[in-house]
Amino acid sequence: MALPDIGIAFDSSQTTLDLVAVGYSLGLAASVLYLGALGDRYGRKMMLVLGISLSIPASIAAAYAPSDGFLVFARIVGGVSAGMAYPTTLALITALWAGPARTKAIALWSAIGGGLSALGPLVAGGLLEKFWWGSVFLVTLPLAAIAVLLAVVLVPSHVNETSDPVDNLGGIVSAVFVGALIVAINFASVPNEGTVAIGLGAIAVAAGIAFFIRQRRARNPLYDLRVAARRIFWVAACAGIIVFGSLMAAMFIGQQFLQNVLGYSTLQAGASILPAVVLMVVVAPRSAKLIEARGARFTLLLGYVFVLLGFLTMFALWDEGTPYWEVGLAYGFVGIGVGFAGTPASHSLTGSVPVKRAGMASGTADLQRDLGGAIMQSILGALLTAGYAAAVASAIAAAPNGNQISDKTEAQLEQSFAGAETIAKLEPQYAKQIIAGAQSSFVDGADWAYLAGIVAILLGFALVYFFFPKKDKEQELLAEYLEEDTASSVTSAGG
Amino acid sequence: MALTEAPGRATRAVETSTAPERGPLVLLALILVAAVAT
Repeated sequence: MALPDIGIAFDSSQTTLDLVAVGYSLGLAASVLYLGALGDRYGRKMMLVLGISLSIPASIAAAYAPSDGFLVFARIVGGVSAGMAYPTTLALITALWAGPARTKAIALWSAIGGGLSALGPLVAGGLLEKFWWGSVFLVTLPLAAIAVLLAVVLVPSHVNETSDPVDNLGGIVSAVFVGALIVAINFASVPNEGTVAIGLGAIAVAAGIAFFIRQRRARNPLYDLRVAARRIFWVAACAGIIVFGSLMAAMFIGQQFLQNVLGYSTLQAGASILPAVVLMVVVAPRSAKLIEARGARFTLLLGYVFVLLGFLTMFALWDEGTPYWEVGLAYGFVGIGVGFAGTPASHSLTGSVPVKRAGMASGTADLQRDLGGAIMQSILGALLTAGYAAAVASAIAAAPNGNQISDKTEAQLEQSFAGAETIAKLEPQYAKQIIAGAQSSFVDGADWAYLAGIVAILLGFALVYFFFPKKDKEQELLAEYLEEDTASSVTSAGG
Repeated sequence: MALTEAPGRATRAVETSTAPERGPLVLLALILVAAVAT
């Protein structure tokens, strides 16, 4: 949200602004698998305290960055600090609690963490109305200071950690693989960044193959492919990517819709998310109970139904005359859906790995959010842009004086809503018609995006429905996994 | 408390039991860290 102000402050290129936007998730996603494994081996508390401590200077450096290049660097460092702290929190929950208590703890962790991060646009919108762009990076500082203190005092030092060596080479390859993948996906839908996206995509594919080979051959792999191939693990991982991706895409498209079409201020658009945040937190404890009573599959599917209702509401009801209750209804559905599905998505990952490998499960839980957000935002964003351009083109073709519009103006109108706003300022006598046409085209383009979201959600639903085991089978498989892990740890201890 | 051998470094004490008496506060600390890190 601060990007336009940052662009003005540094006179930044679009590429640099894109890097500022993606820097944090790049640092986080690229480092998370390696750092999760290091935490499992050398101490999760140490990793947690180091990470959250490092986030403080990283935030200050970002807020007072002297150049946009330095800001990108500070954001990546901030992401790496989160890569130390974030996966370690879920790993520690896995190591400290078991059974229903663990399910409840994960539900609260998932809902409150997700809810607070969804509040980001509201907080940022409020700050940007009164303060400079750097203030958005400082807002977490008081919380970080309290979190460091609590972590130092309360978190136990070593709980169920592993003594196996860490696959450092695999860790470095994983950072290249995930880092290149995240930037490639993020840049795929950005105009004029196609070459960069293809180049990084090629690097990601090569590094991905190298990572896969390395993990098959390493004696102590960073990412145990044998564990990752377990049905409960991989289906939950994919299901989580779609659920969290849908949440982020709903916010991404929704925020633009509210501001461009309904004319909300940034603060109003941020505040409109509140039903999702509140319901996510309210529903999460119930999702924990439901997992215990009906199993993860039922809870995941229920979550998917609500997320689907949210996207159907956006598709069917959101247009130029949408009252707020329809906005709140859609966000409410998505919030309930993520509240239900988010817990089993994380819980099934941690439940299907041996506790000493909790870092692998929590790293994957984190990637669900990063990869899911990047993939869904990229696809839905690209469809929004394409649908918007097609609607503008057909509106111009149908207009009685459409042939009087120059090719250059038409191209700018089709490029983006912001492009149409610029033309409207240059042609004040037609401003009203131009903005009305752009708003109507944006609604058409957004419908393409919601439709793609609906397809992704249905695919996720089908995946869970057909591949995730029902409660009895789930319990049976989890018992089998535990038996396998106990046997293999006895074998490795004996060998 | 149990003792485990970590190759390449000194034997260290490892807590293997859960810590229910510290549960809610530990969880609060972890949730706060997760919220700040996202």
